[in-house]
Amino acid sequence: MFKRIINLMRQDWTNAVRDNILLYMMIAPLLLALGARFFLPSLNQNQYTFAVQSSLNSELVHRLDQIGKIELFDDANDVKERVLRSDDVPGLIIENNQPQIIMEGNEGDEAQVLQSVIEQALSGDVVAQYSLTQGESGARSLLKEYGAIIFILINTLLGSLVMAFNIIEDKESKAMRALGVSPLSMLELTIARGLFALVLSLIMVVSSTMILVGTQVNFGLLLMGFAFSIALPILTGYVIGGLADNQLKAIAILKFYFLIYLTLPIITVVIPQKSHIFFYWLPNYWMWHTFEQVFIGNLGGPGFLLSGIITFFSSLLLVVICYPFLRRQLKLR
Amino acid sequence: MKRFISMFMQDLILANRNGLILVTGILLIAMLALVLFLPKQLKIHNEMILDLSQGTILATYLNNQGVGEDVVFIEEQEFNQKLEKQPNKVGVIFSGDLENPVFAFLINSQIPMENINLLKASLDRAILDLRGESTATIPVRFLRGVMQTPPLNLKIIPIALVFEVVLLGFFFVSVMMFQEKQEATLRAYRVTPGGAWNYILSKNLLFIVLSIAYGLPLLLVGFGLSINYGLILLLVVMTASMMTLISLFIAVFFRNLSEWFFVGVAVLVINSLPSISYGIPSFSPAWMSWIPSYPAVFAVRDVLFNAATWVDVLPTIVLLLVLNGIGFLLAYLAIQRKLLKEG
Repeated sequence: MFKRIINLMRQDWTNAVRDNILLYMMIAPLLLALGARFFLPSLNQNQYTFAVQSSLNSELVHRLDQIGKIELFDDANDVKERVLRSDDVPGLIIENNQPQIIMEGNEGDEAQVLQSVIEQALSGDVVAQYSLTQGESGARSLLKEYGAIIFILINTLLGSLVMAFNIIEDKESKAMRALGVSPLSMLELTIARGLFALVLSLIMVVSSTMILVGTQVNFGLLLMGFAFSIALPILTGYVIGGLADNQLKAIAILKFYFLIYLTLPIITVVIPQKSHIFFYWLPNYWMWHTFEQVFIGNLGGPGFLLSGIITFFSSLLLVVICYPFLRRQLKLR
Repeated sequence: MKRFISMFMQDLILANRNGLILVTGILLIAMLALVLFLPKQLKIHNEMILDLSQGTILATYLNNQGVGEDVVFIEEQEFNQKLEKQPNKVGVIFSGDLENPVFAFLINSQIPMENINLLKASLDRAILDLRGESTATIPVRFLRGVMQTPPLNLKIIPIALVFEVVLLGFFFVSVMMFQEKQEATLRAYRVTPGGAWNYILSKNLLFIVLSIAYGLPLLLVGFGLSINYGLILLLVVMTASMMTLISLFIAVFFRNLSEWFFVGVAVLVINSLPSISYGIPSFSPAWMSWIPSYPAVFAVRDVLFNAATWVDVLPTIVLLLVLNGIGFLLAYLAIQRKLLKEG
């Protein structure tokens, strides 16, 4: 049994090296993680931009500078042109020696808020006393942490796609038919292909996390979270590799699968906790929830251990349900 | 022409046989469900406010403004519990009274000081409102007139069109090419008089047709007949064509799907970045506008919600035309000189 598993893994390794998969698989996600590392802080520092006519009193410009970024323009028409561009940038011009706020008109409810806030900032009046307390984790950028979780889900998916593509290649080259009459069982195929996918995923998960958040995360918990999630990439590999006869069908299935796999858990970040109940049936929701606790902390619902266990058993349950169907599809013992 | 039609029919049959049309149909149903069932409004506040003042005047004021539950609190314990579970929010504690208001901010994540100052100005204004001392002194001018804010369920349609519908070609055309390589149909095609022109145009037309079949029902369900369909479909067709041509060009340099996939995903992720600017319009670094989907998504938004005319979106149309020309040239050269010449 072990010899057959090792042989199949060796075969997958050879395919991966021959097709440069390993090279691309390592480079593409890591480059993306590097890109995200530089990109996410700028998103975190997002603030309002104001287009301002340079003849505005410098004291007023300074006051506006306290609540956002300033872009100075010599002419009022240039300010208007800037305001009319695609992004949301309000403007401030001088008309009849008086300041005038310029907006595009599509700001909705925000227009009134912006108007009053700009007026208040320009007045320079101090109305209330303010104090600021930074929590223990005050320097944290949550975007980086959420970015790392998204990368974990993507990298796990990429690993399982190698498994799916190998199955499809075997189908297309009729090698699967040969495997069907060999002593190789479905279980052995699952172990061999699954292990290969998991090792690849793990390498990418660890390296992308290192790139994005460095050593600020508890890698012990990260590895535990990954161990809880191992049945999910196997399920993904089987769903795509088992159902698709060729690459075109695989991509078609993947396009729909991706929507459920990644988009739904991401949505839970912005919707209220009480609505999360609609996602409880998804193992990937629990996987997201598990890693959310590794990177951010418990934001409600079951703790790390319990959500990890739910991830493991819910995805294992789906593997068990799909197993007989896929065995018939792959025509293995 | 006959060759082109025959090639197009072959591609259409291949797409249907491989479930591509079925999957597009399923995706369309999922998108339609989103448009129909997504709430029309979703208010997300970045702060949570606890009013510890006597008479909870600020809480009453904010509730009257429609700020809503889970934002304004008068119980400290509930406020602390909720804030702990939402570290991305700024906690604001109000104490004192209207004459001597005191605010304490609790922050658990990185927030620029400018945004804190913006919040201070907003709270100052609320206090002045409560005192009856606030006055609007600076006039506001709306350059396009005041427009209604689109409901959330319709607001996602430009995203669906530019980052989902028009990407059908990007995703599938490469895989079609790899399959043709693998099944040796490309080798057979090389000895026919079809040539690169027919090959590119047939595939491009297939995905333009699929994009329209995917996008048009979305638009009809979302907007009925109240929008400029000529203009919006032109934008969809040009963006879909551009993505298909780029994908054809890239795919020539890879042997199979496994090789292409990771590079394809990287291109896809970069192309999807402008969706962040669409969601947060105040975030638009200069480099973001260089990504072709950036002007496309905002042009679609302007046509759908801001009654933009041909003149308004002309720069985007010209840009897409130029990018289509470059894409076609690159795809033609790669297919003519490499794909159709390989042994």
